[in-house]
Amino acid sequence: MGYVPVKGGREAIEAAEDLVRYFRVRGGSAPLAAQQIQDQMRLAVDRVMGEGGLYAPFHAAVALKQAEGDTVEASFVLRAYRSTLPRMGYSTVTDTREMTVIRRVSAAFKDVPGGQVLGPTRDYSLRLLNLELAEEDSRQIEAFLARYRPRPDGGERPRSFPKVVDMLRAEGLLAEYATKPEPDVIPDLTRQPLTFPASRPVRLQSMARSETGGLMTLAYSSMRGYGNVHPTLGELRVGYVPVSVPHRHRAGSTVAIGRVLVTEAEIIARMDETEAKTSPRFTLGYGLCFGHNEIKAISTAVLDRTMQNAAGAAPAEDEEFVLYHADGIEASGFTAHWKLPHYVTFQSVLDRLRRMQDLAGEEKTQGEDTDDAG
Amino acid sequence: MPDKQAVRPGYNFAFLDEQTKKEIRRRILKAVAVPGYQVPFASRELPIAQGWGTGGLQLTLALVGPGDVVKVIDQGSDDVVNAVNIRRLLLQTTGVKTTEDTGAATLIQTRHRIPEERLREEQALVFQVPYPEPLRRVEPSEVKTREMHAEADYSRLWVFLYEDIVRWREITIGAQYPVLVNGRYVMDPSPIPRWDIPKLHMAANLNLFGAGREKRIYAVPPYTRVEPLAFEDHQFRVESFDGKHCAVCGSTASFLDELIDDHTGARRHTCSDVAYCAKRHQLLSENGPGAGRQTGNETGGGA
Amino acid sequence: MLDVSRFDPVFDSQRVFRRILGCMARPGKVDFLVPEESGFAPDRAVVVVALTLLDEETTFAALGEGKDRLARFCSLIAGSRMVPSGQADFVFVSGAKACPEITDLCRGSLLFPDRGATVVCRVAALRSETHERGVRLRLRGPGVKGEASLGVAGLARENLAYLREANNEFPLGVDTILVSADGRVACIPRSARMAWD
Repeated sequence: MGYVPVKGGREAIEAAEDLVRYFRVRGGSAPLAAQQIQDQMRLAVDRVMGEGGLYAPFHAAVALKQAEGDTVEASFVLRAYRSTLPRMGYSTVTDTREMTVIRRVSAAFKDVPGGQVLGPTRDYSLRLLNLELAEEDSRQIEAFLARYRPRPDGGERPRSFPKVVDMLRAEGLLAEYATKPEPDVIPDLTRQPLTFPASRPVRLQSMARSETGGLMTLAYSSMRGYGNVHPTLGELRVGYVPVSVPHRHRAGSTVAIGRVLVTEAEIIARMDETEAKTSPRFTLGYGLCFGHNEIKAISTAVLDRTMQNAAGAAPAEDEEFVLYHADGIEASGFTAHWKLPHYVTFQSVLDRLRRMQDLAGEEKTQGEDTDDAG
Repeated sequence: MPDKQAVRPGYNFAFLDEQTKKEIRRRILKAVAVPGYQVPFASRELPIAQGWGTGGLQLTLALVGPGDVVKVIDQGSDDVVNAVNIRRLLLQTTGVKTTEDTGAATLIQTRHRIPEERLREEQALVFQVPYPEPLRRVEPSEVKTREMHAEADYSRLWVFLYEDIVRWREITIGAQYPVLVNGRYVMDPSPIPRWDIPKLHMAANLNLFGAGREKRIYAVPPYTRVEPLAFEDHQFRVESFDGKHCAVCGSTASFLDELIDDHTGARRHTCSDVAYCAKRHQLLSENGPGAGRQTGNETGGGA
Repeated sequence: MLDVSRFDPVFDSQRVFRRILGCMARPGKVDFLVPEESGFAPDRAVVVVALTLLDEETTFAALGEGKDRLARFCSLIAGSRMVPSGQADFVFVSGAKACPEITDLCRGSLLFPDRGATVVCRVAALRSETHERGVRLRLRGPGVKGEASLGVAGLARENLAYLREANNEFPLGVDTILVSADGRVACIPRSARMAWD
């Protein structure tokens, strides 16, 4: 039982903390600046902000440094930090039509009004390990930045586009959804408990904080056939949306307080046969998350759609299954908790097992007695 | 008074923001008003991982004030690393006094044990709960178990226990034994050993249960009926330590940990409740043998 | 009303909550919400309860005497939203006059009994023993060893009957926090069985 220190737990914890630090820095290389992580580990920062449920690129970068690059751990640190922050107020509804787009693609149409904007994507890059990056120095970066000009038809230039779903909607091809809810009745998952059946805003909020890999696994299970909704990617957008809050003293007016980078996916699915009430229409799955995280936005949109299946039996169609199991902080915490001592419960189980063995022994003896008698 | 030196600057008293505490406090009141019923709550992330006591800790943080004296135990011990860690967080965010003496504590946070020393009216015991739902053994869906509680339909759990007896001639549940609270709700008492279950029945203290990951709060108020599920011909039985005693304090009336000697492989037993054991040991060494004679009244276990 | 700046949102609300909790866990127990020496300030205890439990996530209704003042306070200071009494999380009532609305408050559902309302009821005085001007309540159930006695002045017997009716289908029901003009508190959770002389 050397595993459980009877005394000295505090010293053990502190020694472990020192060791963690030692393993991070023992290589002797220059310390990583948070700003470097924020700039050059952009997608990891975005992922941590999303799963941490806090739009704070700098804090996410520090969390990544602290977690030595483990995004689940970094998200956990960020969420714990979030618990200490008071709620100042609620923003007004942001219309993503106002997005300043850096990337926008549609798989539904060959050509869409506004055009396809590839933006910063690796989708068509050959995934060859670029060993030149190992030698990259600041002179090369400076030279590249001096040479590089965002192209006039894309890049960082702010512009907005008509939405693909609006075009389908105008033609009456898309099922109608509830009209825009009032801001003060949108439930807040972080302030109110998750109960079932969950409303669509709650589902979307929950998935926005879920772990990317967890959502992807569940969405992928649906794409392969467990509750397949045959999705088509109507539109995928990455860009900045403004955030506004109600004016404190002037009722009805709002104040813009900044902007956040988000990824938005809209998937178009076939009409479900069981849902046919009126004339057939497409149905929609929607996904939105903080930062640039396309896998997560698409997975969310697919799952948003699968969970609308009325009599779904597949995991991806079961809201309880999806929402309870995709949260990375919850799942990782519980998975790790098995490392805690369980010797009291084990002793209790041991007591039962010994009792069962005694009973089985008695039975056997009795059985033998009977045999002898026979 | 709180130790201001120990408090880490930059955080609110008791870590959580005040709105969060308010929400948890409102839920606690409802949990007390409907004994054994699981109240859903939003649950916040804490600087310790979910599954490591965040439910109990959120309750403690919503309850604790400068006048409290806090004790934290895990597996009955104040010194297991997880208990030390939680106590460290409490100290760094509140500066409140901590103790290992069960009798001196106003608030006790525990994982997997109820102290052997009987608790008093003014004390509150906060349990860390991994699985709040006692029906999860027979039904994985939250929607369905909630309906079963609503209708007080516990037949599937009774069948589960019955089948256990048919198969094994005994109920095989070790720790975390389901109980009926106030004659209405079947409740998971957290993974305490069966030994501790009788201590919940008509206890003088308030018992609060927090499941952070599963986002549930529930309660057993003082002087409330808590009955382990059992059959007339298959009575509920606590763990047997027949013929065994604590190697340190000689106790024959406490829950014992089984230890295996590193060298000889021999087994010996010591009290799981380390603070209780230390108190008895001191009493024995001060007053000689006989001082620690046990009437069996001081613990609910074995009753 | 109360000088709100004197209420410490961290430490006063913690202290007040613990006392309410102590009373909710032990029906019949009487405790102080505001120090006795703070003098006579009717409504002061109610205000302290509102500051401790209400915020923008909660809804409330105010019924009976002084309801407008209380409503203004709850929405402005606590940031809580006023709704019809049948939907409110917290319902403030004045105990002295019959308040039949008590039987129409939200009692929760069998799936979510915790959604039942909390009634904050203003009374004249609370004592552990019989109060000379009031009614003596006898309470049984969880939290009570045997039977508890609670003396309440300024609580109409009709309201007791309404409360009992609201709580006749456990686990559905409402939970009551009684606060007195002299700064005391006592609770009647829905689990309590209640009788009076």
